[in-house]
Amino acid sequence: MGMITDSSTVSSGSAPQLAHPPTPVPRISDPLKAQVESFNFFYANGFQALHGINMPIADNQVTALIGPSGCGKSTLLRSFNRMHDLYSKNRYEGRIILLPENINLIGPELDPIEIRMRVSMVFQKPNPFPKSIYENVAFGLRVRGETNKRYIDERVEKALRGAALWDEVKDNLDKSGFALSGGQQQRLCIARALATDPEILLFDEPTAALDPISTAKIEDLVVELKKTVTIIIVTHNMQQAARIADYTAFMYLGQLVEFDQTNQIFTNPSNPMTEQYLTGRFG
Amino acid sequence: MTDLSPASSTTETTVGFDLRRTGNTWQRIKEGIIEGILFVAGISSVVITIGIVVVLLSETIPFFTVPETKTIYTPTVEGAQTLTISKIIAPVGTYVDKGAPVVEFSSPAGSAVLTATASGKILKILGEVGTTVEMNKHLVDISHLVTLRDFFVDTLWAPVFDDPRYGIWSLISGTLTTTLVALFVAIPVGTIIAIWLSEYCYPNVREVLKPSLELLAAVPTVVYGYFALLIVSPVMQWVLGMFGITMGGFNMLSAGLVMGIMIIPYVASLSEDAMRAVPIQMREGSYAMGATRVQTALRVLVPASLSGITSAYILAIARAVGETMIVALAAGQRPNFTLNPTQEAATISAAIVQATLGDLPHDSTAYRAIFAAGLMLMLITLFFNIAGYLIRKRYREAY
Ligand SMILES: Nc1ncnc2c1ncn2[C@@H]1O[C@H](COP(=O)(O)OP(=O)(O)OP(=O)(O)O)[C@@H](O)[C@H]1O
Ligand SMILES: [Mg+2]
Repeated sequence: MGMITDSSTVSSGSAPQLAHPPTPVPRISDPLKAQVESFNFFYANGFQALHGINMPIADNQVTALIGPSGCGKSTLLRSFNRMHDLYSKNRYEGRIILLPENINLIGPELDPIEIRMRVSMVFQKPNPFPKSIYENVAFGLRVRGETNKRYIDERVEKALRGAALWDEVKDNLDKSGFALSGGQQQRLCIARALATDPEILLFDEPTAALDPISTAKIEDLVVELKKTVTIIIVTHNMQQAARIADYTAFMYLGQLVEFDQTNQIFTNPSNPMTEQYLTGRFG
Repeated sequence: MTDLSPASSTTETTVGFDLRRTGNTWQRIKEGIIEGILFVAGISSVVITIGIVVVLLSETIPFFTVPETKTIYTPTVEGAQTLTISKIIAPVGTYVDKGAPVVEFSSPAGSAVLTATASGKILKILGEVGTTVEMNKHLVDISHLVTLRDFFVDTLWAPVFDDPRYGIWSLISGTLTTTLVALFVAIPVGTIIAIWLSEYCYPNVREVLKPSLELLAAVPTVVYGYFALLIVSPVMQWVLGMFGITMGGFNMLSAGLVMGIMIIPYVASLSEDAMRAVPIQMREGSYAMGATRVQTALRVLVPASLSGITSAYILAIARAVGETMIVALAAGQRPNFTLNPTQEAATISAAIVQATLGDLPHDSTAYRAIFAAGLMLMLITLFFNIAGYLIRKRYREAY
């Protein structure tokens, strides 16, 4: 059960301002997969995009990150698989603990490649590789040095089934990944991310570029996938968060404003800012 | 080409109203002038290409169709003063093959046979049976036509010899060998540089390195030519000497190596542009799967930019095939039908420049041969361009 006890006063109507008040650590009763602790993030230009984030990630649950554009959702999400390491001079502060091993995901001593093998990511725009459907899904195994054809065959099929794409492509595995529709491409990217059995799956607005039917399929898929993998999803679509997320985090200006069970956030937010955002008064 | 011209694009905007009609007269004139300039610029390259092909064809067609008159002289017989025609084996109007007997002579010192120095039709014989002729005097005219067979089957190129030969293969072999040596250097080195520049080096280092790399392509080729001849060639002679291989001062190896250095920037710079044009999501997608930088570069970025990389290779090949100065200086200019890079040989372009430097009469077959060779050069380049086009079509990026 989560609660946040921030009560900064807000001038109703106009967009509220946060002045970096300390955010208490939300507590939940579910078992945890990860725990973000006093997390700050600085981009290479010195801009601090995240301020003192404290947030639990429940094991085998869906956690949604919501908030107005530019509030730092993608920045936070991309910290879980160390995408920021791709660009020099980006800086993390604080800890993101991966459980049960109790290792710090953003610790400089950890190899980002090791982390990306355990934390997979699906992007906003479908980004298949210029390869066949089969090779797209097998990519993660191949970069891990896997060469056993039978094993790869098995994993590719399992991943494509897991991404609800198998029946549509099983006769065309040699066709280019680009030959698929946008929604199919996105499910191909999900299959690609699943093929290596990740512990956490990150989604950054995975349905923003898709039609309603493809969106519904991906949403069903996310709910199905949480049986085997912990999911963190960024979304701009409130209904989507309400439909698929178990926990929701509302962020604003690089801060975590409120974190709670999804139904709690949507029916009875404890922070007036959350309520204002959910009712469309800003953002 | 034509889709660059505004004329074709405006046809699509006629839905609703024509933008060009909305301004005043002056504006319309201005638009018209700009449109005209764009159109001329757009089609000029097509016009120039067609013009070049027309010029080449206008000399190549006569090369194969206008016969050349060959004169044959009476033979020399040791000890004789004059010769008497004893028999005309091939009278005027008959066709003879090269080497076939034409006229038989007798003399006190012995008999002799005059053979055709070229195939063709006997045009004229200055004498008949019983005529006494002096030695080494013009006796027979043969109307000789260069055939496609002479051009494509013969393996010697010697258009200015008394007995001219037009075997283009001896030049094509030189062009292919030097080009292959150059590509052997430029493609691996250029591609590795491209990968390194796009994936490994710091952006500010790249900003300095890339222009300096491009300078390599700006060095005058005559400088490269002497570099190949005076520095690379002796070094290669020494290196090969250690393996017991002797090589002359003129050789295709040094010319090809230096040509390879010259075309590295074409490969590297354009391939790097193509690799960096790959969308950031694809690159991040690869890293997000746990791929290393090498894996990302080789398994994702290179396949994703294959069409651009192919273009870079094709441009480099075209540049190598047409390169003249380096090969003319360093590879020797003696046509030589061989693919052995340690040999000296002439390329098509070197043979053209060599023939042009002499003073060939403009009406001669030897002069027209230059254009036939030039057309071959163009066809080879065209071949690579078409091959590149097909590869690009096959691997067109779909992102
Ligand atoms: N590479 C960067 N360098 C500097 N600042 C950046 C960089 N990328 C993002 N930012 C800034 O960091 C803040 C958070 O960006 P982020 O992309 O995380 O927002 P977001 O919540 O994902 O927004 P959206 O909903 O539009 O995707 C923004 O103010 C943005 O301008
Ligand atoms: Mg974002």
